[in-house]
Amino acid sequence: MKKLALPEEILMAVDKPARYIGQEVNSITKNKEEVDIRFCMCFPDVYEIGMSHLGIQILYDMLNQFSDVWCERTYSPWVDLDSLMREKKIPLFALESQDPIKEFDFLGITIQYEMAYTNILQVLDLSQIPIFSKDRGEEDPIVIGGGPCVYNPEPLAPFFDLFYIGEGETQYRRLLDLYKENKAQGRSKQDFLKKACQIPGIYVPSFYQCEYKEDGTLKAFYPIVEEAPKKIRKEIQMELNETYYPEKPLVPYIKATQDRVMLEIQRGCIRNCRFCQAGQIYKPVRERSVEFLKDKASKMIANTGYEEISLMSLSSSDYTHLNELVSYLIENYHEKGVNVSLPSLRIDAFSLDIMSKVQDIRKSSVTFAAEGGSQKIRDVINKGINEEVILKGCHDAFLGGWNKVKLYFMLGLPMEEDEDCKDIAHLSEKICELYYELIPKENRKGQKASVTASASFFIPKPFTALQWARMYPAEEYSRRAYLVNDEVKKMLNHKSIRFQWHSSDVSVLEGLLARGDRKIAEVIYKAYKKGAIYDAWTEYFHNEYWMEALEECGLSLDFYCYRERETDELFPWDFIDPGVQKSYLIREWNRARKGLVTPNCRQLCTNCGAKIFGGGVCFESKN
Amino acid sequence: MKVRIKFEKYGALKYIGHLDVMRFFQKANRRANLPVAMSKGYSPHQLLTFSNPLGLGMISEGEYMDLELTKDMDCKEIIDRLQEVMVEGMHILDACPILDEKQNAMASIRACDYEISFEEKVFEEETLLGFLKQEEILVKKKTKKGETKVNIRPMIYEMYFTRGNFEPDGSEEELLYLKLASGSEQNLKVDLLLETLYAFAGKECRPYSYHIKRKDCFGKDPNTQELVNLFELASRIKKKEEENS
Ligand code: SF4
Repeated sequence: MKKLALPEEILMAVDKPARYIGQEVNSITKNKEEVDIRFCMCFPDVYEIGMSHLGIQILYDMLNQFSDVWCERTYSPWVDLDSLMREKKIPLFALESQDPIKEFDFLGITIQYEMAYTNILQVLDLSQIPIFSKDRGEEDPIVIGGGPCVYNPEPLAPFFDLFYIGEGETQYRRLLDLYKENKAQGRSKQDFLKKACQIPGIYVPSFYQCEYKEDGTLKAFYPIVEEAPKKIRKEIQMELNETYYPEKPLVPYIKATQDRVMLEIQRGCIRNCRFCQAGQIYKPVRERSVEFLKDKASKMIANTGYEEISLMSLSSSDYTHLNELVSYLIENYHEKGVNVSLPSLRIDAFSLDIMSKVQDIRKSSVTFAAEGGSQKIRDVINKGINEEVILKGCHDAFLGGWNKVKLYFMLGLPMEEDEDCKDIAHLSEKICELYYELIPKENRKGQKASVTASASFFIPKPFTALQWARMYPAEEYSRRAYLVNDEVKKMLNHKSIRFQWHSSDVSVLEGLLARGDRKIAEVIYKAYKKGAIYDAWTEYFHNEYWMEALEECGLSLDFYCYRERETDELFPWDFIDPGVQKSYLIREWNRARKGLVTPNCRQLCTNCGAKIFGGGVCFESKN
Repeated sequence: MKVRIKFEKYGALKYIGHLDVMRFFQKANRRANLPVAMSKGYSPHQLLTFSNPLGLGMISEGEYMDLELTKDMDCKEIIDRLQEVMVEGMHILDACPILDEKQNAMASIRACDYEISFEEKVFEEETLLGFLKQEEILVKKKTKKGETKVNIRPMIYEMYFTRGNFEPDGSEEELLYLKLASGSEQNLKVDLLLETLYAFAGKECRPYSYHIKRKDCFGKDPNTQELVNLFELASRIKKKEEENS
């Protein structure tokens, strides 16, 4: 029998022990004596969330295709196990071998959202790896960070030995070869890092220094070793048809958040929404060919036994061959009981037709990411959707038999006034009215219109056109949310409208971490020491830990969150080159404040800078 | 065609609960490309039933799954195809057609047998004999109205020491063999029985001092009234009908 890292009395005492035993379908076991490099890939959140992440599945598959590497996985132990492991001093382990991670060569952590930062410290701490990179010795694994949050790695800089900025497919082989060579020559970790920092996309934070002005803003940021480059350009996999993609993805025993095959149809987005970080950092759009996707889809379905396949992308409707791909999947798999799901789909005649084939209309809803309640705000953020389009979508959906509509909004956007907030209620009301007008009573089958409007609070992110914007104190967000809520109550059809909103405290903190500098690392560390962990989980989020930590560090939300930044301010993340140029973002920031819309990449190229990668949408015929 | 599949579950997979085992097999059946019949509707599900849930933490060498297939298949092929898509800790033992299609693994169960491996020896032969000699063994049982006393002695069919391997790759050791009533009519949980035995012997029952393996599940042959395992049962009932006709 395979050995387990945790004894029976612990596994039987914690919730969902299946999180910790590995052995999932398609997980990979190698002989550790026969590999040169042991790599542990970590998603710092609970298993069910981490297992649902496509990026890890891609890298897990890629790294295990290398015969000299064994890539394993780990996730954040849930709070129940966390305290038991601390009490009994059990080191965090990798699922496949159940060996302690501290024995590995690499620990790679994917950083998908800011509220997982304290979980990164948890993972290091439980692994018995020193939390600060400067305290690690030659025997400790090299800790690598990757994922969207590393587009501003500075708040995490002291915890990581290196960051991999950009898409993982391109440079891992080089990095690993360098590691092997360095080890064979008997050289130190420092030697390795000095060579690693010369690989494109690799950022070694300890090789850089920051200087600050008196007002707290960044004065200068520069390398302090010869080998380290001044600027680091993101890595990007331009050719998405001839690259790694798992054919045998992992299938967990317990139900993961994504309990389905995930098929990434394209990377990037043409839409240029001004609040969206993913839209900028994954530029330019690159599509995978239909042939590639059909082939992968059939293999993945056969190898997993999943009953659903989800087409993943930032905006599925923009995929050129969507019709062909979806028809193929429905024709070949629907009969066999395999459902097709398409998140991020624009509502139009085509998508409603697909949805009616694959969903139970009575149970499903149509979704609009309107983001702004008024056209003014939608123009500020360049959300290429207007009321007419939304109402037309609802019109078609209601005639098609739907009665549920979900609307997503943001509050606290630049230029927002009280009237714009209230328009969320007005738009919801118009949709209800449309339903009652359009569907005669006898055809409603007793069903009412149901509109759910959800609001989150706008968080300015690095490398977006709104990265200069200010945030507001939590009370102001709550005031705006209640403004909408009160307005909803005044609506004629208020009984058909449900309005809900996110926690405002968390949003402010997310903003702090997103645009923080190196000084914020100490705040994260202190908050963690006070007990902050699983901050993304409302029931475990303690705002007071963070407020105390900020105070102890002498730092303030006024500086990091509540001030509008000047366009000539040097940002902590400006040393990263995502292709998209700062001059373009400034142009967009100015246009935003004038309410001017910018066309999408297929309508007109506005020369953002991503052309430098030499492919994708920038070189489609229309450009 | 309806088939009954017998499988074992051991090692780390004892931490996978019953619902997840069901989900596992739904996917495994697809990977094996078995023509499992589906229910109708927008979210169709496979027509399959399992023998009664195995408690979390137990291993088993006698679990059953009944499958409704849309076409006839050779049982050998079913076994091979399913085994091909198993994981370590899940092993297909056998498959056979269920002659009486109304039979189902869950409803048929009348008894289960088990082997218990103890962390250290606690009970002597005499203790067992003394325990079994009692005419009545009363235990408290919680009901909706409060507590009642139930005599569990008639639910103990067999109980003795034997030797064998607990895990498939383990070594030989002393094991306690149990055959107990199970199912919807009468049901005796292993833990309850052992708790009572510890109390009888005046020993303290510390947590995790024993491990449970289910060996098999049994139903009643309607002709002879004897207990036969579910695999046997799948081919027996039909005989009665044949005799009657
Ligand atoms: S260079 Fe033009 S087409 Fe390419 S991503 Fe930028 S705006 Fe879009």
